[in-house]
Amino acid sequence: MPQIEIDAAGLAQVRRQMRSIEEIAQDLPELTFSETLPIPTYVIEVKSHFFNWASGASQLLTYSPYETVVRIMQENAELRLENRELAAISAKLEKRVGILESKLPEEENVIVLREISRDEAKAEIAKLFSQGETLYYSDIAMKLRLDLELVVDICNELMSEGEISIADSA
Amino acid sequence: MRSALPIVHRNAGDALRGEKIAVKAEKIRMGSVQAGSSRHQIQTLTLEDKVFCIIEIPLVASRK
Repeated sequence: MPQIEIDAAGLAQVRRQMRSIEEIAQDLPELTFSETLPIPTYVIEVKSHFFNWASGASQLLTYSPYETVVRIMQENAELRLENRELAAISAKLEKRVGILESKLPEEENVIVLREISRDEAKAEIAKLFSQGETLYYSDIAMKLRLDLELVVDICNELMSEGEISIADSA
Repeated sequence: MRSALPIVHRNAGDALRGEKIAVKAEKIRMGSVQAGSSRHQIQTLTLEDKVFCIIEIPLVASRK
């Protein structure tokens, strides 16, 4: 049988708790089977908790009732400690994930380039400029889903034709 | 006055310098982040296979 260490104060607390549990347990059947007496909700809840506890503890019934309670309290303390340790690990991991996320490139834009004729592309680029916007090569390539090299080539052609020019801000 | 036709550099060792450069390539490999404040970090990357780069210029429709 495993050794259980508990100090005098802890033992006194266990005894107090056992006493109150035993007292509740003794009272419960009487209240449960009374048809005339309304049973308060909290009594039903306490009874439910007690039987849940008893059911969980049944596998430990080879121990004395006091030892059973001590073991449950000890296990509870260990679980609380483990819970604190896991929370600390979780916080560290969250921090690391945050750092990694901040290093990732911004949302990846995958665009499928359109395959249209050069004349069509030129007409679309000219139409885009007619809206009065200042555009970079990459803006045009993104907006019209065209190959960057084709956009540069057509823009140079439009510049030589005097259709577009370098913005004053450049 | 800038030339309407871009000068294309094809020789190994040629460099490009600009405020904004548009690129395309089959492979883009992220490189290191050089030390600096978070606002002024300099990043490096390598472009491989069918690489095309152009120094961006703002363009507008000509006033007629």
